[in-house]
Amino acid sequence: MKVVIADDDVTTRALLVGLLSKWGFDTVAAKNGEDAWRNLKLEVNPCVALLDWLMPGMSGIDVCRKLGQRPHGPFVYAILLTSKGGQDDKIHGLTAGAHAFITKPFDPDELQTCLRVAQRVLEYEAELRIKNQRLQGYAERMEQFAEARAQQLVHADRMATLGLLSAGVAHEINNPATFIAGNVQDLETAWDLVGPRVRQDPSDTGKEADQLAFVLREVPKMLAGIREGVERIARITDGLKGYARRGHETEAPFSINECINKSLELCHNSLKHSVKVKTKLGDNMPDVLGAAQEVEQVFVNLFINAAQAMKGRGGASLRICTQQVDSTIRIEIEDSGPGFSKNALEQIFNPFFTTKKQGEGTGLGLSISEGIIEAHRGTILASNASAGGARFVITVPTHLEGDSSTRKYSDNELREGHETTIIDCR
Amino acid sequence: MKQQLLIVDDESEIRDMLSRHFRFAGYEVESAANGRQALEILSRIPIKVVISDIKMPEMDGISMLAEIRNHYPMIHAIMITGYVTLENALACMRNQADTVIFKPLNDLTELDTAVVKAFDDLKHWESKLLALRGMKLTANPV
Repeated sequence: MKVVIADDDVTTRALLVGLLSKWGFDTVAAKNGEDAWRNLKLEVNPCVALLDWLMPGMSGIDVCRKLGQRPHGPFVYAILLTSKGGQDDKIHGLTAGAHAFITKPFDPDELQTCLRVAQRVLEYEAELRIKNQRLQGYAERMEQFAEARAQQLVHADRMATLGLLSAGVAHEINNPATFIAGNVQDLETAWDLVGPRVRQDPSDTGKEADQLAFVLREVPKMLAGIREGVERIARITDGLKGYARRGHETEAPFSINECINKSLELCHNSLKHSVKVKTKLGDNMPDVLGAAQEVEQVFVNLFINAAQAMKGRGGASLRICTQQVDSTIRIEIEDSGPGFSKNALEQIFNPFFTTKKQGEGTGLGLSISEGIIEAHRGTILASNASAGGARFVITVPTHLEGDSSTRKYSDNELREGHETTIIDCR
Repeated sequence: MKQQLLIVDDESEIRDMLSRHFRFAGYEVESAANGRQALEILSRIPIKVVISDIKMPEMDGISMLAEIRNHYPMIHAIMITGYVTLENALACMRNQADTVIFKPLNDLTELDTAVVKAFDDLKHWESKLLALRGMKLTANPV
């Protein structure tokens, strides 16, 4: 413990330094109030100030007042050591901010006891400071948690609203899309009949003849354009309906590994020729609770995206890895494609964000996938792999034995149950 | 005589489009905006094949289909819907619709095929009846 000793009398100063060093304290000697204040200002740790009252310039009382006025800075335990010994003086000194008051000539035992008290107070203070810092740390972390949770909730809420809205819009768009699609198909049939029979009128002038030739040539392309447009609209509305379809499946325990294998089978056509698939699936992993078909949809999405991203690149590979980490299943999916740009990484889960060519993707797949994983109380994160490709890490909590629906379904049982609902159509 | 079709949809553009499509293909087409109108038409004209939307005001396609099963068991019904739900599909099956086709009908050939199949089936029974022409019902038909 450090003690700043301030006394203008060189003999007293020397005596105090000698005594305190003997008792095991670090000492700093100051010859007046200014000197003491300068030294105290330099201190970063709590310490003790042993101050003479009457000194030329800044007095011991002044130092106490100054210490009381600074808002920050380490705690200083101030002891006034003075020849002023009246009760008024004591009250005056303690009111000014001193913690203890000793009259000169002093009894060394009293001084030592007083310093030991100071030491205890500083120790309490230090302990409090550590606890306080820890609490502050907790508070900050809680605030961060709360903020993250609030953002999640806002996001979930937005997705729910978007789901309702988009499903509604999808149905509304479906009807006009139906009569556009129908009419354009009939127009194409009609044009096949009419087009070849359209003849130039010999009386037409040059410009009109040119225009008619142009129309005859271009009409099929115009019709094809309308058809392509309406087909694209149909794909988007179909994607939007994916939001609404969510949550209709009932929950049952299922194996993530089986889910991945089924998804790979479904994507066989997209992967078989050009992509080398490496799987490392964890052994004896517990099931997760949820809708297997929905999670399958997520994997299919990711696999197809990977295949499309790696199209035309040599040595295309897809690495799929599952493992149990505590009470979650962690799934890593990594491709050898070009990875994400910074911009893409920020927006990858936003609805309608796509890096695919117009007409190839609706930009809804990953947004829906995120929703599905969140509905399974899991997380999905996108990043760039160290080798450069795209990397997705999904975590889903394992199904706890003893839950409301602990009954283990075998695949056959589930399938039978499923069929019963279909057959029961009276 | 031309083969007759009834098209039921509350969206006039879809009704017109389908009507035009099948008139072009050589059918005679009636149309109705909801189930109630459709039943009214069926009570006047012996139409044997109906193409109907499901979600419609006043009387929806499923209720209409149930009525048709009660009163005209031989009528073939082809349902089209934008609301693709398991409930809708099961309701169509239970009321013996020929099929359910999902909007937006990007490929009309599915509908064309269903219509041709319906008329083929009707023709099949007509030929059987033709073969039995002249026979009378027994007092207690089985």
